[in-house]
Amino acid sequence: MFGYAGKMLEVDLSTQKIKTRKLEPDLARDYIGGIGFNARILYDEIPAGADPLGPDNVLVFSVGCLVGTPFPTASRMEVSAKSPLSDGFGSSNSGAFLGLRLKCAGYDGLIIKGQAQKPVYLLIEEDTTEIKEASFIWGKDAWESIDLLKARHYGAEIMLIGQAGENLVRFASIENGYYDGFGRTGMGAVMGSKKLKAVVVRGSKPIVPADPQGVLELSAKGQKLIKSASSYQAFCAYGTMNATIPYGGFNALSVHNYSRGTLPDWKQKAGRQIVDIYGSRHIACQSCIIACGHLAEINEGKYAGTLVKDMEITPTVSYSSNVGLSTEASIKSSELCQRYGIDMSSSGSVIAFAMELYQKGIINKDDVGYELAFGDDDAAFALLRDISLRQGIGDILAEGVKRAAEHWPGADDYAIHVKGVEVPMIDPRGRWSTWTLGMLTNIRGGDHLRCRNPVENLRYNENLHYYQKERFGFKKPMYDRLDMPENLKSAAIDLESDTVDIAIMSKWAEDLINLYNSVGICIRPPVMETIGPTILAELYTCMTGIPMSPDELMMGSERAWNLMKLFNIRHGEVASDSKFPRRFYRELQSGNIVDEDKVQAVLEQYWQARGWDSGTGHPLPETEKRLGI
Amino acid sequence: MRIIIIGNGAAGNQAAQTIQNYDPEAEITILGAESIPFYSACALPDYLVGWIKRDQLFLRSSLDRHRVEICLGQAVEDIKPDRQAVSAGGKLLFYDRLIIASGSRPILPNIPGTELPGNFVIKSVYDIDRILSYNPRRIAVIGSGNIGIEVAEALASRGCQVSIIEMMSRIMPRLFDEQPAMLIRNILEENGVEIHTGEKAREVIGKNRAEGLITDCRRISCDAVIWAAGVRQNTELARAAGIEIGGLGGIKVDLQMKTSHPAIYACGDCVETSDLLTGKPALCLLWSCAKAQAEVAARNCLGEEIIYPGALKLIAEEAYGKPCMAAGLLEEELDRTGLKIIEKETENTYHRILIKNERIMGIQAVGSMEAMGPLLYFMKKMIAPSEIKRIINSPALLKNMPWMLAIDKYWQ
Amino acid sequence: MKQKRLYHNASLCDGCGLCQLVCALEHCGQWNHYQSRIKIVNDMEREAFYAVCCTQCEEAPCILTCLMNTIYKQPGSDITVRDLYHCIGCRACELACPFDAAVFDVIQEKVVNCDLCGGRPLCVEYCPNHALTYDYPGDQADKKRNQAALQRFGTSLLEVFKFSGKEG
Repeated sequence: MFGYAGKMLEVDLSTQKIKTRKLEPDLARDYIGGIGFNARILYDEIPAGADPLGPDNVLVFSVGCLVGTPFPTASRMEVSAKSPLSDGFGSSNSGAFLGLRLKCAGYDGLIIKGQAQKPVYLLIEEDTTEIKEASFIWGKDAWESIDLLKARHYGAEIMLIGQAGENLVRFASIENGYYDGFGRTGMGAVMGSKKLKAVVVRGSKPIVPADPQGVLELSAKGQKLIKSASSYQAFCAYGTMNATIPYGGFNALSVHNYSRGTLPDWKQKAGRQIVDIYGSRHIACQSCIIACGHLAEINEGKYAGTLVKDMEITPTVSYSSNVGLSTEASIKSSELCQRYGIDMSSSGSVIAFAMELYQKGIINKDDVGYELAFGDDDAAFALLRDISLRQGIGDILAEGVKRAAEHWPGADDYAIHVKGVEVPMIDPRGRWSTWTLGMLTNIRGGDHLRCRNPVENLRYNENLHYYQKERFGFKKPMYDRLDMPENLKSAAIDLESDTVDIAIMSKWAEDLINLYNSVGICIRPPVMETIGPTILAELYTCMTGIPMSPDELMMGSERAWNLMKLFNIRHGEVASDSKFPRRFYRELQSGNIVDEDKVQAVLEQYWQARGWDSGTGHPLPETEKRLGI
Repeated sequence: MRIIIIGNGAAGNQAAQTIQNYDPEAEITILGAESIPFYSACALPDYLVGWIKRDQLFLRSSLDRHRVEICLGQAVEDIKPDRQAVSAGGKLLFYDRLIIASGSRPILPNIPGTELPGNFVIKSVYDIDRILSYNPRRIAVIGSGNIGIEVAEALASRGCQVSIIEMMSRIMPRLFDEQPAMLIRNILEENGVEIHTGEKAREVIGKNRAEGLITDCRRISCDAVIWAAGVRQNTELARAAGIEIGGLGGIKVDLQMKTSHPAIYACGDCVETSDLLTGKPALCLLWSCAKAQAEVAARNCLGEEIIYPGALKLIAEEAYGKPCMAAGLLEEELDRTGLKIIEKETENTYHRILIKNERIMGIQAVGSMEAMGPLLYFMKKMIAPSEIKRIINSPALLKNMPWMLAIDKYWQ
Repeated sequence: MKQKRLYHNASLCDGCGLCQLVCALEHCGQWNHYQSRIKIVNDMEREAFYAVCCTQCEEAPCILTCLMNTIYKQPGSDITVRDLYHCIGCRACELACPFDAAVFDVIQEKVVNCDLCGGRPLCVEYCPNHALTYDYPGDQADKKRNQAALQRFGTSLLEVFKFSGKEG
């Protein structure tokens, strides 16, 4: 099979059996790759009501089908399992070099089942896969473990869990090398429950495209397109840090557990200049021409000697604004999160949650063991350690805000989550957009990365309460450039009133991002702005030799999205789960609250646009039939 | 200038090539004893297995046929240094400079039975042709140098049953230390090659042809015996002409590859040079050494003053797909005091670096040759390990020498 | 005649590996990181990425080591080229290369080196940050490189390594 490695590796840790599964051409064509494969496998193989941390859960890693091409940013792989945080479809995406290496080892995906008796790690080499004993790294943090594993397996790419994953912290992440990770929805806890400490991958098998010349040409074209994006230059220089200032300006920042909308010194704490101060150099993932990652270095002060890939919006907002730490402490927090193997967004939210409880007197010093206050880095890091090691109060907080709030009466009001997953970064009260609706419709719960307007407007924030629309904010050439079917484009964007229909755009954006996650490219704004299904379909055909039209490609992505929704429904999701935390509806923030009824109305519109039942949000039979599920 | 080169091997051809490049006016004559064009002796085992075709053995030559006369099948009978002439085929050929690259020949020991059909050596294309047409099934290979090992593997790959007889206590005794030799032995034995060490061949038995071999401890029935137990320098011509012969049996040359006679140079297998690391006299019977020596000899012929830094023992070969390499000295050849050994072992690879007096003295690797190139050069240039470490640890310096990073793993 | 060479500026490189991908695709029609003629050494500890590629040495050790005389300088230029028909894949040149820049092509089972794509290197075309450049020797980077080697090893190393821009 061209383009794909052609098989998936299935490891049953309970029985220690390893087998390979041939990649069925139908699966490849219908679900494309990456998250698509994960959706199908999880839907087929996890029984309803399975314990996310039990042996029935299945952990699937799939590589995007375009990984291995020089197409810009084609490096991503997706991990999915039933989430211990949301009890629904858990999924997380990461780049760097692991995906390509797994594909070069000869596998499109890795399926992990069962539970090992003793700590183990998996060594995947070209033709052999071994389950190896891992007691020498069990209990060690991620960076130490990588060092030890690298000494044994030179030149290998490694993904692993830190102590948080071992201790089944529900928002533990899987670390991808030193600096990257599969952060959200607690995939690390699933890996920890299987007692799988690490996966070490080495391989040098070829990936053969059907038409190498075509792939090269289209990659050059893709490079040109992305370079022409309006946000390209800014992104190359400052990465995701660009977005920090506008959100502060919109009063839409998550400050101190969403009790405020912005910080007075936010511009000094998070602006572009901190990239210039702390960032030492750019680091790219495989094939990326943007290289938004920076290596951050602290040379003096309390945290002197810290060296970590940072200068990203996620740790900055989670720790600088949500927990209120100083910039240097937030850089340090990235290192700690990487070492413990814990999700930066969720851990920041949990710490902020605990700090607010402390402030409100719901928990006190006897519960915690030390004083907690926003902005106190020592306390925050102590709490981070306690959570990762499940010591003291950390044992309760390690369950995530939703479950932890049940421990203390009245704590529920301060638990900021959607479907159990902590909401990161942006406050819908300050800015209502496709993005914020996406936190409700997101398959993996309260998360910001699966639904974003392809042309994100970070300039205007005028239509605060106009729930069904948001301002488009761009001129006609931008509209013309958008790679979207004409009828959908005209339905979603109204140039005359300069607005975007949020419901229709949400569906398109989700499908587009899902497509990106299936083919394995990145959702950085310069890519979202310029790369659409047309060029991806051509590339898919060149890569695999399978004829594919842009419409079919989008349908494949929609198919996977519906399947994930069905997975969630089977595992107990109901329509009323799609709601914001109470705080957003009740507590005034920058003069606003979110209107519950109006949100419900947009949500129903969105369900309609998706072909789902407008009352329950379940996919309608005709939709399932159209998609051939 | 008229230059005569005796020998049509690697050294001879390289010398001719160099002269042609540096002095387009020179008249060159190559006198080869074999009546066969220039071929690569190193590829003979590959030809024996059948990995390459016979015509691939013969090498591309960019010698200008108008200026270089190649006389094949023309054995030199005599060198007359006082008249600056050689006699070949009854004629006298005069020279201004003479380069002797007469090579070496394999040793057939003086034991009973070696004259029987079925005794072979590995030296030329004809030897391989003879083995192929003889088509033996059970073979005893005497000697486990690199030739012995390669031939044994080649024959085993052809489906023959092969036994290796080695006099010393381990295989490849001059190339590898105990532990890596053991690893290579394991690889060979796993693939069905029988190995007997610490035994000496006593007699080849058989009536009209070789039927078996008797060693110190056993009798091996076989239908062919291949002698790969060393070579002897072809120095008879030089000796007869009164040229000085060194203590190890090769033609004695100085650092400019000049013999005791001022107009006569020598290079290749037949000479005795000094070892790069120890400076002591040494024989070096390797293709790359021959070519390097030939280049030095040729340029010195033309009046330049180039110094040959010395020969470095360097062997690289594949044992059933596993690359093995050894360079420099062995542990037993070095004084124990102050000797530091770096060993890196993983499941599939083994590396050993010998360091003494802040110099790399020996490298041995089994399984992977990754990053050995840079290491070799540090060995050749006698650069201290501490200096290497300093470069590796300094990003600013590394920027200009990125390849050094590859050897990082050996220094931790 | 002096030819253009490939230069890598480590301070501009992000380590995206695009050059390796396009190189392997162009030369073998498939992606396999061992097939790429240029190698990016990814070194997170030292926060840098280095490129290893054939430097087109003037007196190349690979030429001297080749058992089959298959490596030679392209007539009229100083590009190291190979006659792959006669190559027996013994990997001696890989061992000899002090830059670790000879690549064993696992499809052909032969050793190859950077051929500069016949004068239009694809890796340079695709490099997003212009970290790779294709230029005449003797420019600034080359001089710096020489100087660094000179300082560290003294002149003797230069003789062996024959840095490309010695005269330039």
